[in-house]
Amino acid sequence: MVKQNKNTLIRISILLFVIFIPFSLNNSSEAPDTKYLEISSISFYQTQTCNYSLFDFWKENIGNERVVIKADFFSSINCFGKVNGVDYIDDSFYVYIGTNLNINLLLQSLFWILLISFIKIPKEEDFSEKLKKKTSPVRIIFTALLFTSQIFTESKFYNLYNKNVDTSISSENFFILGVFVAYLIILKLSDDIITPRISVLMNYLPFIFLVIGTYSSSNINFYIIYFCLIGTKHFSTKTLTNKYSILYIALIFFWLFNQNLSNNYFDVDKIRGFANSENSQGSLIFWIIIFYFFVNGLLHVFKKYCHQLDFEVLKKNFLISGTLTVLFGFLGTISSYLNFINFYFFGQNKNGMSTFQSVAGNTWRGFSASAEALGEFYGIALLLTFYFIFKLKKVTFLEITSIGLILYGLIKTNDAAVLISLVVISTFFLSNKLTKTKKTAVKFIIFFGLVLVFLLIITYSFFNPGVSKDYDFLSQNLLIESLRNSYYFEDENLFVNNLVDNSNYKDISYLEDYEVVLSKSTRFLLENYISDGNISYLPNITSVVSVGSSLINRTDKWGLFVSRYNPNDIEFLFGSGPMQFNKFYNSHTIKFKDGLILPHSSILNILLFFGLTGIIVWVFGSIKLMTKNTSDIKYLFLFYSLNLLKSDSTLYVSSFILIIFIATQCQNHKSKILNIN
Amino acid sequence: MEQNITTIEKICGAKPADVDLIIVGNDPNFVFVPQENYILKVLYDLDGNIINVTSWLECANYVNGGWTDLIPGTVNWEKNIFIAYLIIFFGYLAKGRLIKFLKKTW
Repeated sequence: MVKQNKNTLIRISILLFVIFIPFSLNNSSEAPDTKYLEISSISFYQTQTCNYSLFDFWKENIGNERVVIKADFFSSINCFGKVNGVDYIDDSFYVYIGTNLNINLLLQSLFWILLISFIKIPKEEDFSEKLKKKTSPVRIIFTALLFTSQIFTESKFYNLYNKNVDTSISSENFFILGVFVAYLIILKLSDDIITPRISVLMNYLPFIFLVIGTYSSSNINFYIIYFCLIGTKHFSTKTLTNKYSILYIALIFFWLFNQNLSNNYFDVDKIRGFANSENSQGSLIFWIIIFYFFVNGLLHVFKKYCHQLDFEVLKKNFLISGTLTVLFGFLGTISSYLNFINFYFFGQNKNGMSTFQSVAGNTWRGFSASAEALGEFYGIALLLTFYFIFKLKKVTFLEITSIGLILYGLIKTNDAAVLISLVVISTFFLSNKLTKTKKTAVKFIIFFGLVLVFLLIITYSFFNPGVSKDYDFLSQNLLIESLRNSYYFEDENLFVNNLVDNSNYKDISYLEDYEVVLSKSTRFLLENYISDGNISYLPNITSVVSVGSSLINRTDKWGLFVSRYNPNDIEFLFGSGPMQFNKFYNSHTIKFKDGLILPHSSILNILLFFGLTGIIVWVFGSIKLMTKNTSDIKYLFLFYSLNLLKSDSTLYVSSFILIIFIATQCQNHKSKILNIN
Repeated sequence: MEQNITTIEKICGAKPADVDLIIVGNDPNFVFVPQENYILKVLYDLDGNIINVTSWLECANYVNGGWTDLIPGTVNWEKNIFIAYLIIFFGYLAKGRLIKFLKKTW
């Protein structure tokens, strides 16, 4: 007991050391004292760069509300954690704090590994079992080399985010050597500290939404590194001959031979850490390998240790993690310093919100890079909690407080789809459970379903007065949107504008440059809409998708996707490879050029990465999971799947891990109801 | 100059195909013509003097004469971090033996 307390104390001390020391060191003792930042002292900080640590600056500027702390990715090692520059923009002082890849890799990993070390090692682990779990040095070196190679394969990204990047192969390239040894340390530490806890890791899964794990100045994520290590460790000929592996290998040939090397740079922005930033063969191969090992590592852990999964602990951790994301989101909003600390130590892809005001008038993403991904996480937390309340018929005061905070967070994310699907799934579940025979259950479900749909349409129309109820308009809305995003509208094009306004799509199809300007998918929608083969009173594909997208408020985003998506036959069938956006964003010119607007549907992401093959595998896999499962986990899977139809969450590592986890548990617990006593 | 080509290419970039390696030495009449598309480089000598070079040939000649792209007296932090990480890594690997050794000696 005393030894355990001592260990905990040591770990807490190291944790505090990791947080405070690197950001408290000053470069020069001869530098003048820090000053309160105001217009008159800007020049002081601009000339004294790299002299004052973050905490020194903070101490002098407590209560200075005009200070906005930002990370300076492009910092040298000796300026790490120090004030590297000050700008005066819109009545605010932007203060840049130096971060550097060589330090980030080790410091951030150390913080996360230390946090995981607080999880108790399961008692049944004996020494021989522990030994078996150690990864061989060869595999550790291979994994470290693999991740180091990213600096070469995505050199554009790393040159943009880091100073002194050197991609030459030489024994004096200390930048690369430092990164390589940092990866070796991370992998060895992870193997020694995380792997003994691997069997109970799933119970703490919700915390991946709090500790997101993306390295500053880097395009990789800590969880990818660790699960890749597990993936490489358990890689064998047996894994390679698995039917999914064979399919994946077959797809690799299509991706590699169909790659159109344009060497473009893709700004990964908020999906940093889980997207390819370059259109080169090296980076494609890198992401193909990483994705394979990452998914295999996840599947191995989620399948092998499913007997250790305790849903009650999981629910508790969902509540704690959900509450903490709301609270840290608030703290980051209140204080710019804490916003930076959140960004750095929780490994956020993007800084948390700095204001309580919603973005674009409706969503508040708070702690997360994506309001949708956060909303879905809150939805899962609430669904699981309500399930336990229903089953156990008890709820504690702390749980009620957590539920309140999470509900508040969910409302702030304004994720209507989560709220609606929560109501639908809960009703579906209750009607299934409260009725004794199958026949009455079906009646109940139909009744509840009809009432719900009616209520939802009324509510939706009431809250979205801008949405037209004119079927004729709704059925071509998506087509109109995709046409308006096309290059025809780069300049004011009155002729085409008139054709669109008058729904004269036939004449658009006769335009000389029709096949060049419009993407294949826009042409597909258009030609389907005007096809002579359409049957009266039976909606065509374009109308169905268009009405659907209007009802779930996705027309503008999907319209943009359609205007851009211009695949060749191989791409349509097999995609461009995992996490490859470059071709999609750069191959077809459209009117809209700025900013990263993602497809806003995980199905569309699957189409981009794995083509129609991926969608078929996903649809049939989901149907198989749902129909062959009589346990209650399928409700979680159904909930998440419904939401993924209209969100990009699978592009975020945390959400990706969660959906794989839920799907695997659906497969593991086919008949058992959640293990509640 | 040919012997220093690795160092030169490391600092100045790869040698353009259309440029001949010639040693200008201290010829005061020679004028280096700025090279199109060559990104300006800053070189330093041991005394801390600075020169901006605008062509590969100019850069090569200065590097050949002992100039470098590192500010004299500055620390190679990447090298230091690499060494520190190596010590941490091997120290961690040998921690068991290290503890045993310390226990024995004390």
